[in-house]
Amino acid sequence: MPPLEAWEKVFLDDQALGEAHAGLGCIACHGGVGGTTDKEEAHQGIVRDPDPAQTCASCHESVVETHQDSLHATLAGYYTVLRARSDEEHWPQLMTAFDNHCDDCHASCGQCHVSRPTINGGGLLAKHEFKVPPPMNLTCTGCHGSRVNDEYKGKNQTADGQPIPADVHFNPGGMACFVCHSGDQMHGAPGVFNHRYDGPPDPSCTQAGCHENIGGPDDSIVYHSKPHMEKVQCQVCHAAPYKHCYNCHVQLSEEGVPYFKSDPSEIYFIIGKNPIQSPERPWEYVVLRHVPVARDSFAYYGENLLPNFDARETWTYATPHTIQRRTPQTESCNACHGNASLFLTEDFVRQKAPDEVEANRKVIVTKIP
Amino acid sequence: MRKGIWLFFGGLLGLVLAACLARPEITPLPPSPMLPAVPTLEATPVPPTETPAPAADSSTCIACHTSEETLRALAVEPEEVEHLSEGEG
Repeated sequence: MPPLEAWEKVFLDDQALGEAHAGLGCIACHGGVGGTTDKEEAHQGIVRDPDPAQTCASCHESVVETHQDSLHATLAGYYTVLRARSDEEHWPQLMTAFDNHCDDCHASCGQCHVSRPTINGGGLLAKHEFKVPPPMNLTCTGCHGSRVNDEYKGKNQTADGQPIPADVHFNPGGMACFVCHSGDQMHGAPGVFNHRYDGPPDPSCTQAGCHENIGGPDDSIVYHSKPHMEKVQCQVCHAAPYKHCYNCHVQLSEEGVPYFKSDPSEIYFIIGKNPIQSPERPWEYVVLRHVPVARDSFAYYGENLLPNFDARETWTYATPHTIQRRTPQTESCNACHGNASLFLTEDFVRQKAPDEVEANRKVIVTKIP
Repeated sequence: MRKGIWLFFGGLLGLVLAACLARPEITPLPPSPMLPAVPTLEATPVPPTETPAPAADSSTCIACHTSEETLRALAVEPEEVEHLSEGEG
């Protein structure tokens, strides 16, 4: 996204606020001191990103209530995986690292509807106009850039330089993020969720208004047979190669500036056993993505902060945004069946991450179907 | 003769007292056609309402933040932090 100069980030148009919000005045939400032209005095007590519970909730109560428990607000997904891989003894050190490197990844009301996310330097989206829905290129993919953005828009290429087309929903579909990921989903469904795949798929490929007849009596595609529909996640057939990241390590500079280093990412397609098989996600085979974690990711902050690293897979359940109607694996039956190169085998894990075999034991495919 | 004088003054005093004790009949004025009739007030309970917080004066905020010239003069670019991170985030 194009960078903003400091003045542009706070340049507003009072007409852009809209009647309802303009009536509140600046100070009601942002604090500060009115009636002065002195910059320092005017900015005393200023709050750049107001607390939704204290501001937005006065009108948008139900939205704020569910958002406060949403993964965008709580970052519960991070805590879930860190809890699984660490323990009480190492938790305080781990949380120091978390505070330095991960805690900025919040999405408040303002960071989607008014400004660019703080982690991207902030700055008003449109002179303080409240954008509904938010502009996907400045907000959604501002955070979900490395994987989702590049995959969805077709910016990746295979290891041998072949371009990977954009997800069909983007091109030719022309669908922005919010077409599938509705406001209700982004604001959080009622209830507490531990990670983004907790609960039924949302969005679901086969939900009403989408591909609801897939696998039904009127579906003429032979591959949509009952065994396939029951055992195989949609993406297993319809995802093109996607990105895998490894070895993210976090640390502080001598001046205390947090930074990270990660090995180059890789692009490939891989099928494994479903690590979160449930009545809501009943498939035996799903696509997996290596996530950017290593046994020593937090070594800067202490020794062995992930003592239970093997308790959770590093090739995790994934829903890549590289959907195609036809993919190499759908060319014929044998393009997939018996094709070991498409499956996460123990040999493959030993080649890519030799010390992660145990962590991935339950997703490794032992017999190629 | 003296007795007649006393009777005269006694009668006069009685007339004066009678006149002072008598109450004149007061007739209400007809309502003025220029003024609306005053409604009868009845004691009705007033539900408690939240006093809206008075909107603080934001005119100086707006004046500054809508002026490109002022913002260019006052905005401070954040200190350039050396980019130490390597790889995709």
